[in-house]
Amino acid sequence: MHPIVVRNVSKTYPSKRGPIKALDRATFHVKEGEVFGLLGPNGAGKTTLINMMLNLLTPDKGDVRIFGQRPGPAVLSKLNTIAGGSQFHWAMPISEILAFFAKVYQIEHPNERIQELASLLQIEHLMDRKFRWLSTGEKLRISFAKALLNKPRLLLMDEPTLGMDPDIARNVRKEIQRMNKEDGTTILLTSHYMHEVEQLCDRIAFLYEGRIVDIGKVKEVKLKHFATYDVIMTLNKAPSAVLVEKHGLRVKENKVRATLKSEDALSILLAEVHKAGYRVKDIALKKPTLEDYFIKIMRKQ
Amino acid sequence: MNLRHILTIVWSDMLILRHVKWRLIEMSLFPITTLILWGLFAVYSRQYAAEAGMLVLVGNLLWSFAHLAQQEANMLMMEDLWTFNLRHILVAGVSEVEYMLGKLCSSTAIAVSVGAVMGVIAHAFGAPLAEYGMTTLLLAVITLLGSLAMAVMIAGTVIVAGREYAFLSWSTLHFLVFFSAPFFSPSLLPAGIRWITVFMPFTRVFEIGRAMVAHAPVTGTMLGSAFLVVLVYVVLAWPYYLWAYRHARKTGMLARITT
Repeated sequence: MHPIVVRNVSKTYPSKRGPIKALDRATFHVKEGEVFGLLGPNGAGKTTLINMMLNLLTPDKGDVRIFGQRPGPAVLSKLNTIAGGSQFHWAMPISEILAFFAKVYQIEHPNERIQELASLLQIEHLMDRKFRWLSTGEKLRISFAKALLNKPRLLLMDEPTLGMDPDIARNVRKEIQRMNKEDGTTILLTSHYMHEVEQLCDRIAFLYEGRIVDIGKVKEVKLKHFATYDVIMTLNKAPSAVLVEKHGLRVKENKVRATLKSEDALSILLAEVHKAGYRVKDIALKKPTLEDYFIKIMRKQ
Repeated sequence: MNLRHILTIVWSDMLILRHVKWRLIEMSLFPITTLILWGLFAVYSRQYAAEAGMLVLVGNLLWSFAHLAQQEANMLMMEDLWTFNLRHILVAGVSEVEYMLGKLCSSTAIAVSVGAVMGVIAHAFGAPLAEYGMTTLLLAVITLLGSLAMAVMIAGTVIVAGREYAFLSWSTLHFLVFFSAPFFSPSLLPAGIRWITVFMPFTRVFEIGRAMVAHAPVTGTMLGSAFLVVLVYVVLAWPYYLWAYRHARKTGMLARITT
């Protein structure tokens, strides 16, 4: 049974300017133990989908299932969620906020778990402070602590590291990876940080105007849209016309750029450059990133 | 139904009150000072009209108690909405019914505590509360039930209509009390609006209050009819509240107001 199954889900919001289509027959599933990324521009329907999984919204058509059940109180206790910009009661000290959610999630040893998370997220010194006095990054760490309290089987993360200091964000990413690998937590992630998605996600789905326009493993979807990559070399002298013509090199003085289709092609090119008596002084590969993919899909749409 | 969820909501409400001291002052100062003012007026006005001041004092006691129980339940919920805490609670597996029951328990605890102090003050000014013993107690229970039913309805309305309707939390009961003839007989109202008093949750409660001031007998029929009206509100409130959540999930309002 998959932790998340979304089948033909459509949602239209009523509005004074006419109906707004938020989701249009979205279909995908997230496998047990997977880190799944939902990508798409603002307003693509990512948060709408997460709200449906959290039972804050119902689809007009189609079906959302979490561990085989319709989202509701029974299944919600098995998962947890974090969203960038999350707020808690402004007058409550952090220790009480976490104690409250530990009670709600019925954690067996709440004090130990809170202590463990406080140490992981470096929030021990914040425990007596009231939520309103915390900085944006500190507030996010508290949200993260709440999200990890119940060791969820499924974690829904909507822009989780938005506004975090880089070192804390790195710790958080490490913790996400650890939870996924060691505890087998399934994770659904939306993020505008493409390097984060690339680092964490096994598969991604690209949402555009409520439709899923692409889905697959990160490597596969990139390959689908970028069959080639570039290599940029600085040689000890300008290459011969024969070499330029044979490999379709673009030359600027002794700097050459080639577009290659496979890693074998790179070996062949380097061997021939060497054979022709050139020395490679510098080399760089420019492989397409998820950010290139994001921009390409956006332009295509 | 998870009892631990309900108790946790109550526990958290009490913690919040400990940290937000002005809320404690707000919920007790106004009803108590108003009651003292009317108590003094009751004592002073005895020389002009024997029971007139006492009518206002008892009416005010019932009104304040009803208002306190309803308003606190709704304000505690509004606080969760304003601080975006409601989202975290609902997505943590606390059902909307458990959540509301928690809020009702918290507001009952507050209303009963402040109400007891108000009762003692009213008694000190000569209100015949002790004289009627069990009737006073039953009247308090009926008033409380009516207030909590109103709180459930108001909570549902805010969920359906949005945060801008938070004003219903502190204004609805004033509107209802106006049509409940608190210090006078409904027959004094113009015929065109008199019929409204029949449907108001507290018309009969105030009627019993006036009978107590007049040292008239309060029959079981009077209490029963007051209870029946309140019961109708209780019975209507919960299905409406559940419908409100279903509707707000459909329109996207629940996601919008909790984010």
